[in-house]
Amino acid sequence: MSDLKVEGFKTSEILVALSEVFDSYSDEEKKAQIKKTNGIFEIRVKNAAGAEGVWTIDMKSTGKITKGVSTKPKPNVTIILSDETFTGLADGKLDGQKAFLTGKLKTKGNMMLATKLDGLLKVAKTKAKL
Amino acid sequence: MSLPMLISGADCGPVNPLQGLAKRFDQDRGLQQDYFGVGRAGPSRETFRTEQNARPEFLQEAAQFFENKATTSAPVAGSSSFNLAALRSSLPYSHSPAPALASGQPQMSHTPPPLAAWAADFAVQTPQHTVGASAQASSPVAIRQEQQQGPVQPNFTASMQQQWDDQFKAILPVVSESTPTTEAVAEASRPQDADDLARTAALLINTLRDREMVVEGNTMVPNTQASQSNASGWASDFTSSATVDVKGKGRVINPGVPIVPVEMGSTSALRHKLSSLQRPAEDATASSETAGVNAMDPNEAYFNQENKEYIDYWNHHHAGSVPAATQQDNMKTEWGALQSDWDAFEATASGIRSVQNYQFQQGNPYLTGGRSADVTRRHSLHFAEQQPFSESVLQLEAAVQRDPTDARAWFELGVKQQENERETKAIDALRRALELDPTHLPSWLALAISYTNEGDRVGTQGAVRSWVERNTQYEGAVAAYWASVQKAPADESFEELIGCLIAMARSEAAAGQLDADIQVALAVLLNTNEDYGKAQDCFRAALSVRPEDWQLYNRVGATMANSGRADEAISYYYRALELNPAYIRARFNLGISCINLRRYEEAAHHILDALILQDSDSTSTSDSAIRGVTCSALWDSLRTAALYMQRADLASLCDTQDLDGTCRVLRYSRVSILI
Repeated sequence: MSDLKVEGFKTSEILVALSEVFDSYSDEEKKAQIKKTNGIFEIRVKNAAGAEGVWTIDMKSTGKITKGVSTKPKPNVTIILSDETFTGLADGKLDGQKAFLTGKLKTKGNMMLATKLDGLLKVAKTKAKL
Repeated sequence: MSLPMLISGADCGPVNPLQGLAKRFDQDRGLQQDYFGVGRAGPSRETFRTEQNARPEFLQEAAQFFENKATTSAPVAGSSSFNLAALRSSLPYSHSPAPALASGQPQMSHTPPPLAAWAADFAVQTPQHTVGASAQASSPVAIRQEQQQGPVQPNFTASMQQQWDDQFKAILPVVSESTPTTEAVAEASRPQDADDLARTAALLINTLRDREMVVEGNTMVPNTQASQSNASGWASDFTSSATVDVKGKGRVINPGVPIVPVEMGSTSALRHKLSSLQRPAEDATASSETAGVNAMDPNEAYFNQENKEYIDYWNHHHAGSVPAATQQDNMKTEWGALQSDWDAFEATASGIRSVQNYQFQQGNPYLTGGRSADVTRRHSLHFAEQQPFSESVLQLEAAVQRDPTDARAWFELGVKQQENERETKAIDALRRALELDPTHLPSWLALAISYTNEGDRVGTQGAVRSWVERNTQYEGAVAAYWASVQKAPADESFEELIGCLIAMARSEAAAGQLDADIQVALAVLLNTNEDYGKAQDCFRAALSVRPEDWQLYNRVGATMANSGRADEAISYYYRALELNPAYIRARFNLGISCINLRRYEEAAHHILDALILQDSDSTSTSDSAIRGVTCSALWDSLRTAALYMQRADLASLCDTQDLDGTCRVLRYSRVSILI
């Protein structure tokens, strides 16, 4: 249903969901989210089979998720991780900082921006209420 | 070092605290003394009577004089808005009349339309003054200056004063009789006024005599030494001014009275203007009486005319605006009723949020019957025994509406709204409960949970703190803890609050018991800190004490789900739903977990169940979407599930929040879940 989808990557499913959330945003919500994040993430994911998929989350100008490398504008940070780590991050089982410290996640570029990915992934999730 | 050197500070020595002493003594206090009678200071004083600043005694006397006549000074209240003291203090002070005049000018140009005419008159009259006035009085300012010097002029010996006084008294009756116009204009008020004038004149002269120091050193034109012809001339002048005074008072006061009831904005502004206009006339007359300055006439004539025009305007205006005034009265009573209602509501409320009051559903069927009518057909059908959870929101709302001061009813309603996934309403209800009874601890705890769900960390901490402070059972443990950390409870941080709760729990554990409430409070705090592992432990501990509490099961489940363990959470949700099938929140949480586990079909059903349950709370008369009966978060979640199921038709139904349509599409029976 979306060109983001890639077989064999759980990451792609999560990103599709995230993309839908962003698409459903009104202009104001989108602007607020862009202002809050203000960065372009390039996510390089390696799955169990050893294949690599690249997605770009633009939270600086367009507020969209695209497949493939974005050259223009250049990403502010590149995050390299495994498919499993990404799903863990999205589910909230893994802490981004912990993953970074244990070497499950590597970054290139603005490292501080990478910490914002956590919040971005949680946007798609509805919190259970007490 | 000698004393003069010390206090003068003339030499460049080390800093000495005494150095400023001389400057203190030398300081000009003129500005401060200018504040006498500041309450009745009009803008006109700034405009004309510039020299007055240096002689506060006269101001005082004049103020005293006018204070005696209460009617004259009636509309003084608003004059504070014309107090230019702040402006003057910020401007470089100058004795020259020019800046004062400049500061007065805009005041005139600001006047509303009727006063614009006044201003025009002023402009026209000014040349006339110069023509009619004596040689040295070339402009109104000059006239005023001269007039200011007037009171100083009688700087003579006591005998001279006596002489002057006698002349004054002798001439007065003659003059007042010889001028028929005076009698014609104000026969009734004249003798009294004349008496007043004489008294004031004597009073002022006496004051002058007593305070010769003040006027010492001034040069003056001794009016009293003038010849008899001069005196008679002066006397006629005086009468004319006296006449003016009578006229002025009579006219100014009369319009003032009918104007008072009209109190709308522009009118009151005009009234201020009027009173400020009225004052110069009085001031002018006062000074003319005391000093008897010849150049007074043009000004008096001018003010006189001005007053007349103004009175005409007001009489005309007032006659025209009577129906409008009654309309305003009607409106005022209406607004008054609203205001009293508002006050009644605010009397018990505190803070800004209290403005959002709890919105009841309209047409509540439970409201008509008594408490006995609460057992309705549906409940008796589906629930064999009356369990507490079978009380619907409508029943609780009715209970609250019957007795809005019952804190317990509000609390129950708040908790019910929490269970039914309506957080904002729950917060409103709980806040009201706590306003009515701040000592009710469960309300504080419930409020903390609501704030946590809304993501309001500060609110959560505040609620938990209040809970701790009001918990009399653990006063000792709390005090001991604060003593140990050596901090006041007021500036506690998040960690210290947790520490305090742990200390409370320990004190209880020593007694061999476990207080579930402490565990819940602790868990709520940890939840806001996203410390889900520990929060979960606390909820489990509370659960061990209260194994039948469906809320606790849901809370354990929610904490698990938020920490990414949705699969484990589901069993807790199911347990909660076993205990209370109408627990909407658990159902919704179950749906969320199902979405996270990618079991979308299941999720859609759970969320739809929750929506149907929420909708069952609505009355037939109220539109559920508008009344906020169904929660938009539920619809959003259902839409997400529908999108995952690749059912665009369902998603569009969710956008319109069409419950019946959604049920039809899913071939779902609305009754099924209730059986």
